[in-house]
Amino acid sequence: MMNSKKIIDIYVCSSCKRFHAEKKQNCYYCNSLLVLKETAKFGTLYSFTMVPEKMDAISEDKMLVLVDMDEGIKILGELENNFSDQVLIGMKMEIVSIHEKKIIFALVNRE
Amino acid sequence: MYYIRTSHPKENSLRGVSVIGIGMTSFGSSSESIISLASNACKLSLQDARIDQRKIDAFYLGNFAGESFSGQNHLAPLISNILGLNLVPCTRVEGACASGGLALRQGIMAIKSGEADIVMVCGVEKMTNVNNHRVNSILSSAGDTFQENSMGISFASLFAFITQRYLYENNITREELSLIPVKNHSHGILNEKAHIRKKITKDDVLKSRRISGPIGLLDCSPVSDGSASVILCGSEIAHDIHSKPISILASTQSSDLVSLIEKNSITSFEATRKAADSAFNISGLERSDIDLVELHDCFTVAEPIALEDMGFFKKGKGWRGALEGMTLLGGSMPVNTSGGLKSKGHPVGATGLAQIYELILQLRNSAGERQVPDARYALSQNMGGLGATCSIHILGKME
Repeated sequence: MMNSKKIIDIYVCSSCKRFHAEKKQNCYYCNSLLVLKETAKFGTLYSFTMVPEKMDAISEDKMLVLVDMDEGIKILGELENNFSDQVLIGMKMEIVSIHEKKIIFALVNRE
Repeated sequence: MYYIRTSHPKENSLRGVSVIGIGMTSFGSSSESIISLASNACKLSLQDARIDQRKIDAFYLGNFAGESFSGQNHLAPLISNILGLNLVPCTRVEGACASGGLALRQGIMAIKSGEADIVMVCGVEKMTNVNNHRVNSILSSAGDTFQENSMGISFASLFAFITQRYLYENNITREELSLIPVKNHSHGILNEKAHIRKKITKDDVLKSRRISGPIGLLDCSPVSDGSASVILCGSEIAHDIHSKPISILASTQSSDLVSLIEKNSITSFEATRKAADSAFNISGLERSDIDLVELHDCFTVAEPIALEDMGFFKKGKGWRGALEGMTLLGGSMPVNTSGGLKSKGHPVGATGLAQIYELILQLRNSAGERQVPDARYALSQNMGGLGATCSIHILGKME
């Protein structure tokens, strides 16, 4: 479901500053405390790949995206609905959902 | 008996190191165990050096994932037991796909330090006895498992991100890149030890089964079994042992961020740049002095990026090497005359040593149909993960 807010909550390590998509107490890398951070959910498509069904550990065609977030970090995620023909590097993207460790992006103003 | 062992005082700690023996199994799908593959390559290198195994002072083994592929850890002393290298220090070195190159560097440093006079280095991987899904899972552990593999992303997909970005930044298409695997297969046909000795065309590459767009099957190095080994010694005794010793002019290593998402750029690898700059500084050679290169073409795009990072081509122009013929046999600087990882095969831990095997053949003028005429200086680049580890060696004929 599309989130109308322009920010999204993510977890950032208080020490090494690494981003964590899932809610946890401590950083995977350095075990420091994670802090909740409101972050702009927009970014620019940096690269992408279309993974066919049954390749990797997935069961259907998926477009994986690497997005350069406006906050200055890159995030790996999946593209909502796989608009493969319309996708070009440099397009504006937004995070529409985070569930466990899976981050779903959509094209901004794709209409 | 070929030499009398002497102690080396500290002032000799920067002694030169030479290669006096090489051995390699055929690469491909083998029924042999990982231990058998490694010991066979080592025996071939001992035969080539014409020395008794009891002369070996230390043994270094490059291996990425013996425990995952074959259920066997503690491989270095086990292989040493088979070879009869009794009681010498045996060390396994792991650096993902650069494990072989790193093991070689450890062997070189053991001799430079004076700790050893003659060292055996081996690289091995046995990969074909597990299914493709398991292979992908094991290879993915060379990346950042927390940030990248949790989504089920394979190494091919990570290199697909790199390929897509490389095409975008340089305003080219897959067609321009497709001549790289075509070139490497044209070389591999001439290598009797290569895994896939088959001519391929640009169309074959472009139409090959999509693995992770834009990467197709023929952009990927194969899953292989195999082993390669070299024997090293202090240069001051090299001519006493072998008639054509080859000198190690530089052995460098660098590391960078492991995770794709943490890199500022994914179309250039800092570790390769730094290791190459150091290697040229140490050797005193210029890029133009290098007669041939063996580099880490695990996926097609890795070749032009390595050529650019090492300073042989300007940024964004490495793909022109195959297109314009410079990197072909007969070109000004042939690249991957062995067939590269793409055609020769890529048994991960063995790759760094197999690159050295090819360069030694070339520098001995023993490479047969794929011989580069008058080769004097050669370079190898062995990369681990997404460029997180890189070792570079420059070799030269001894005067």
